[in-house]
Amino acid sequence: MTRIAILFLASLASAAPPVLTSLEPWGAQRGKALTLTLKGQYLPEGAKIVSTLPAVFTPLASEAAGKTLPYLVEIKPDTPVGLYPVRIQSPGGISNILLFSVGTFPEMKEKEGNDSAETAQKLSQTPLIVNGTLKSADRDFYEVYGKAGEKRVFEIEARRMGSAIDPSLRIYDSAGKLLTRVEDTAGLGVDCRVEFTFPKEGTYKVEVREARFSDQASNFYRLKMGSYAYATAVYPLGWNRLKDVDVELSGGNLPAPVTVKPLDGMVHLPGSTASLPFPFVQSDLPEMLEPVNDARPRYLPANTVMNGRIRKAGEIDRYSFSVQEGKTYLVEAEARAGGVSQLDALLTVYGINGDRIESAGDKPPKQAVNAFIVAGDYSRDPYLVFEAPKGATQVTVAVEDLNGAGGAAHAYRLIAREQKPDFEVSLSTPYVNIPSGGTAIAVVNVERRGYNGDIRLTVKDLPKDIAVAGGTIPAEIPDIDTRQVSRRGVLTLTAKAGAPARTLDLTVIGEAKLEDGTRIERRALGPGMQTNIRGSFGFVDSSRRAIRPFEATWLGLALPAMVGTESNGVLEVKVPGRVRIIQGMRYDFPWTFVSKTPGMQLPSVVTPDTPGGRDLRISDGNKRQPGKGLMTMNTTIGTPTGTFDVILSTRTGMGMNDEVVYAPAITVDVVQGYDVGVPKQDGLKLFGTIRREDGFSAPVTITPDALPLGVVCPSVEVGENGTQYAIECQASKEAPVGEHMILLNAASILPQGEKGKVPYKIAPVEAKLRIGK
Amino acid sequence: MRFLVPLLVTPALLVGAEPLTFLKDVMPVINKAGCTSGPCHGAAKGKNGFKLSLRGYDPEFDYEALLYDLSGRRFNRADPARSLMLAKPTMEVPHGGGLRFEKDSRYYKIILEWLRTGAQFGDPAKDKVVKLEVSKSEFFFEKPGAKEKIRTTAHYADGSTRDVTAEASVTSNTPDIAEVNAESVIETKRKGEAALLVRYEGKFVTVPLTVLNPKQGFTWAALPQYNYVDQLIDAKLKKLHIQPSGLASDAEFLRRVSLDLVGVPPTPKELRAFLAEPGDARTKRARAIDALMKRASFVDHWTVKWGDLLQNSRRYLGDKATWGFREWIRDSIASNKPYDKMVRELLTSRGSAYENPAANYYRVMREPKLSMEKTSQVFLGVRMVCAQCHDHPFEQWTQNQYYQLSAFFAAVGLKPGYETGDEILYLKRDDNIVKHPKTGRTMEPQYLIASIGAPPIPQGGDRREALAEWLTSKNNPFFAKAIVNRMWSYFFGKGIIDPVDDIRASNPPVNEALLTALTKDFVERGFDLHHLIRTIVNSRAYQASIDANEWNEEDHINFSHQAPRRLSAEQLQDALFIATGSRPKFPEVPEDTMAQQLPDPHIGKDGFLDLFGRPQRESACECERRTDLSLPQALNLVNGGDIATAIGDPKGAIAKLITSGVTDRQLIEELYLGALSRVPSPAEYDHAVTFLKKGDSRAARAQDLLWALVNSKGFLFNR
Repeated sequence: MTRIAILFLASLASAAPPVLTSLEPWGAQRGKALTLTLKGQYLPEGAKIVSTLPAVFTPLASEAAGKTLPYLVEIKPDTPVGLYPVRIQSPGGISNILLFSVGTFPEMKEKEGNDSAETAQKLSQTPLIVNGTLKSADRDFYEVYGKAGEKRVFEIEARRMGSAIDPSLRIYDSAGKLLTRVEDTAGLGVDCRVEFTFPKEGTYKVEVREARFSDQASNFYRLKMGSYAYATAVYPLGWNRLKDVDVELSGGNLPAPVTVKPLDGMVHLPGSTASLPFPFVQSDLPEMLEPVNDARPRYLPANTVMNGRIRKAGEIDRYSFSVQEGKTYLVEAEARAGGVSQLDALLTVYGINGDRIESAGDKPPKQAVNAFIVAGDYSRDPYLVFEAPKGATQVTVAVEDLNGAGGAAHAYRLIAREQKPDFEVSLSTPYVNIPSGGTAIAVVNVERRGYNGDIRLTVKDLPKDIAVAGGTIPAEIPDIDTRQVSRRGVLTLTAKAGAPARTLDLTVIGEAKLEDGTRIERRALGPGMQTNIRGSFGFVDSSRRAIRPFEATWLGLALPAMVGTESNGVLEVKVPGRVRIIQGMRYDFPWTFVSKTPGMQLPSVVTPDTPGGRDLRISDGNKRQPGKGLMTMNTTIGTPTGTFDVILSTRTGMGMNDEVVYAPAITVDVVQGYDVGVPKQDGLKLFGTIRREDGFSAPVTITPDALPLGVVCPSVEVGENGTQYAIECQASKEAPVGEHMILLNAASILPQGEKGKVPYKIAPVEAKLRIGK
Repeated sequence: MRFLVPLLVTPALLVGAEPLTFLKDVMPVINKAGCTSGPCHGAAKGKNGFKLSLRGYDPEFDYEALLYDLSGRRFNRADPARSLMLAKPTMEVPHGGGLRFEKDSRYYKIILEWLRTGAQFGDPAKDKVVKLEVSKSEFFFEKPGAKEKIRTTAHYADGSTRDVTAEASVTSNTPDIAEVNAESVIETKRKGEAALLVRYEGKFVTVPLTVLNPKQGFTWAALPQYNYVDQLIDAKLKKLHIQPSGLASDAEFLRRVSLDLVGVPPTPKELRAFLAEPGDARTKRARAIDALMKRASFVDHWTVKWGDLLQNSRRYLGDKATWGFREWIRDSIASNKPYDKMVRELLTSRGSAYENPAANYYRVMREPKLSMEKTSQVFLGVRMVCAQCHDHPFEQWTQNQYYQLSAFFAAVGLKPGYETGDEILYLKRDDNIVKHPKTGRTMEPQYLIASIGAPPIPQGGDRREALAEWLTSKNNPFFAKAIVNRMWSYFFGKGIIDPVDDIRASNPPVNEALLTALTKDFVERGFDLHHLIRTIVNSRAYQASIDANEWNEEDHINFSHQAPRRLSAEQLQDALFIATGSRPKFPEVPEDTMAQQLPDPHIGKDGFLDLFGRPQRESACECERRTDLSLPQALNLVNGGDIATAIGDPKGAIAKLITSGVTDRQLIEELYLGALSRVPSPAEYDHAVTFLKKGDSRAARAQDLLWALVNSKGFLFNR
């Protein structure tokens, strides 16, 4: 949140949290004044603009109250070219972020009706940026004029700015012949850029279309045209945030590489260029540059980032890395997934004899092998974990491109270190608005790195008038046969009634305790902003599949929050914050919606979310009625014991005016109905106790098993609510003298749920049976 | 025992008094008796617990099965005559396959003698058949009703020969022209051409057979020959006493060539301009061909065909990659990329499918065997699928070859790309081998056939590079021939070899000289597809009328006249847009996107296009595109919403014509030109004028007239 400064404060009016859907325009020329209209929902006049944009914002009168907020914006002339977050703060809360682009070229707006080459919009000016939109299967045509041999850069800013558009650009001659076509340009994600040389003097048509002709809610683009410098390669990709470094920019249309200093996590081309800056990684670790022209073996120190580059096709960078036999190490690369490098990194660790120990980056996810690609799948930069082989003191770490490519844009960051079981957490919730007296949620995802146990989410330094609940991420079982994935957790944040309105920067922490007793904490970074992208049809069943939403993690935000005004109502669940459920039994969650808005239509449907819960069913039964109901959770005797959260929510209102109201998370412990205590022995009599969970009263039958030859121990039944058992064994003369391990099998029936159908067995109890002479 | 041999077997069986061997003597008997046939013990699971290889492709396996399976119960060593392998086929014990030979038959004696003399397997270096020879390389009969025996000689590896007429299998591919009985006697039935397939011990030879038209009075009337295509077709027609048809009219030609080159019929304006153009037919037609091939719609039309073959579909690739792959195909066609280069790019593709759309080729198949099957079928015209389980029954392809060829693709790996929906093709370092399913042996890659200049296959790295070089080589006897044949079929409705993706010795070309010449020309011109297309469509044969004469009316294979072809689904839909003047409005694409500009079968799914046979691109077989006629199609044409909406379009042709105040004759002519690409005959004018005057609404009558035209054969067929 340090990047965002509050620029303007005005009176607060509306109750619902504001939502921004678009800006008009999406960018401007620096040093110029313009009218910027924010569009969306619940935009009260006088709301605060929160932005890092170095500009003066003066509110103007809105012609569509609540839906638009016009401002007169004066952008400072020395504003660096780049993208700036803009959000609104109102009494209802803070809005989502949209990105505003500041450039060096004049700007104009697309004139609709330019859907064909014949009706192309004439652009007489150059350089220029056109702000346009693509609605569904739309094509936008522009007519430009060029001289023979003239070079001009055509670039589209869209996805980089949070538009859902995946743009494609084509240039035709006056006869309609396609001269060039460009889609995803290296380093620009799905955005595109081409430097075009006009073959002869005349008019040309420039077409902008969506690569899939998909229909997106956020459908804007910025077509940039002009003669400007741009680079395609950055090296290194990042550096220690406290240390000075020279960064080389090269490629593109630069005649020679240039060296610059990074600024606030960005690398700008010097001079008056129209190019957006490259994001630059800022780390807290020591950093090194790959030795060049050094004949000595390269050494990769632990916990140090090695910045390297695969300079030519087929090149392999090799490093020696010191290890100790039996210890586990992590090797990790940052490359293409960061969006700047073109290196599809392949990591390989070789032993001293050249044996391949482990590799990463050359394997598909298991579900993708011999199956159709899962539409939501995408590759990340590789990492691998390996155990140092016997006798090894060093290994070789090799970095290369998966397909043998190389060049200036094939940079990487490489780190190796001893790896203890670990995990990383990240927020998929970009911000939260906590209603005064109400509840909001934050969703956290976990990437497990050798640690498969429970993870507890919490919020650091939480104010006293805000309570946190939930945040349980149960252990997962990595075994291939019984694989149970648990990588998502939900925290609920509840503000006390009357909690004062204010903004907060919340820090979400994932905590875990390792087997050796070590406690580890990992801080979650937020996505900054999110744009949902409508997915693709196809992939086997022709249904629409999700596409990874756009996120702007480079904003460096954790969890911006605001305590706002009350919501429409409160969802109350009349159970304790932590409940115990016996395997196979049912638990009821009666709920009530307490309206704060007179006359509102009360919700009758409540939706459950049980992150990490397994083998259970939760439904709203048949007691549903407006304003109250009963959610019932059914477990089975196969439901594993453990802890997870139940988050109930309901939706009030309709369409754009709806609001999701949450109840504080309820933590559920699924427990065994009874335990059989290890018996004591008196002669040949075994006696012990049965511990019963509250509510479990059924008879329990205990059957001794694995008895020594010549020993007979009959089954015994412990009656309803009984807690003591005694087993009279008999031993023949052949029975071997001594102490023997036997098993006590216990079975019961459930008092509800699956009662009478399936025996409710628990794991056998090991006991000792002594046979005397 | 050896002294008994002469008493038991005929001298013919004892060549040089060598002991009989399984390989040379017994296997032919077992095959001829039908024991190894598909319905009997050659079935995938054998029959009643006894399995032999299909048609005896694996003699080692069969030898083991006969002598050692069931603990050797099939071979009674103490008393060979009581062996089960003799008792069963002679029905001494019950046999589900019935009587295969009598006890006193030659076959019985051969097997018995073989058993008695030690049941030797034989030496493959000596006893394997290396070549078959038949009594004639071509059979030519003056008239039906003639008979002639075909004699077959086997040449062995040791240089010896044997008359194997009795055991050889001879079949005719067209029995209603010529039949062959069990004694290898040919009997001709009617005029025409057939191919005889002679098989013996895994070797085969194909022999063409011709029965001339017995009708008297044929006189060859030479027609102009536009290029070598006509020379080679005429040469064969003359020999067969078939008189080719003359040229189609200019109007017929322009409609045909427009549909074949750019996928849509000419507009009335284009047709009028062409008809009014001065000059001889050959010259102006050549000009029209050149002009059509420069159109963007030329690229659209051929993109559909390649999209079918390469199975470009979001079902496999997702929507973005489907659009990208389509652009790659379009670029290849528009730039007239040499065909060998285009195929090399597909076969050796690597990296992101978004960045290198050629990599989408592998995303459809996803595993080595399917990649190999598709590659061989699409680019070589060879169907290898049979050889996955056993050696090909009618071809030279073996099961080993199936896995050896698959091994070229073993290292192809796919992983998700860095953008959702993308995949990256890379070479796997693990799990990158193909094993033989029977032996478990790792199969090293081998070319299907050796060809001159084939590169050595590297031990590691991307072995697809070597495969691509071999496959696209001008010396590869299949590669160029397959595409030439396929392209030919697009202009004549059938290939010179048909089906086009089933090139094999037992399916010979109907005009080998023609196919050879086209292939040679194609290769010499640097695998230039545009040149090939020009050569074909500039021929008189292509431009011939569909009307037959008394000498070619029964010829349907020698290209003596053109044949009407039903328009493809996309052609039909786009022709409807042109005839009715309505605008295409498919979902998920910009307005005015024509049917042939759609990227894949997802758009407009389950609608008009699918009804008329648009393939779902689930296989690379041309056969997936249906051009049949069905009742639902007829009902749709007669009463379907697509036709009615197009004809009744308020901005369509009829609305414009009526509001422009044209006369009845002008209206009628325009509708005929738009729908049928021709002016109406005087009688048609008269009927139509009368019809238009009958009702209150001239527009409604005009709509009915147009409806009738689009329901006529003239509209539905490319003639």
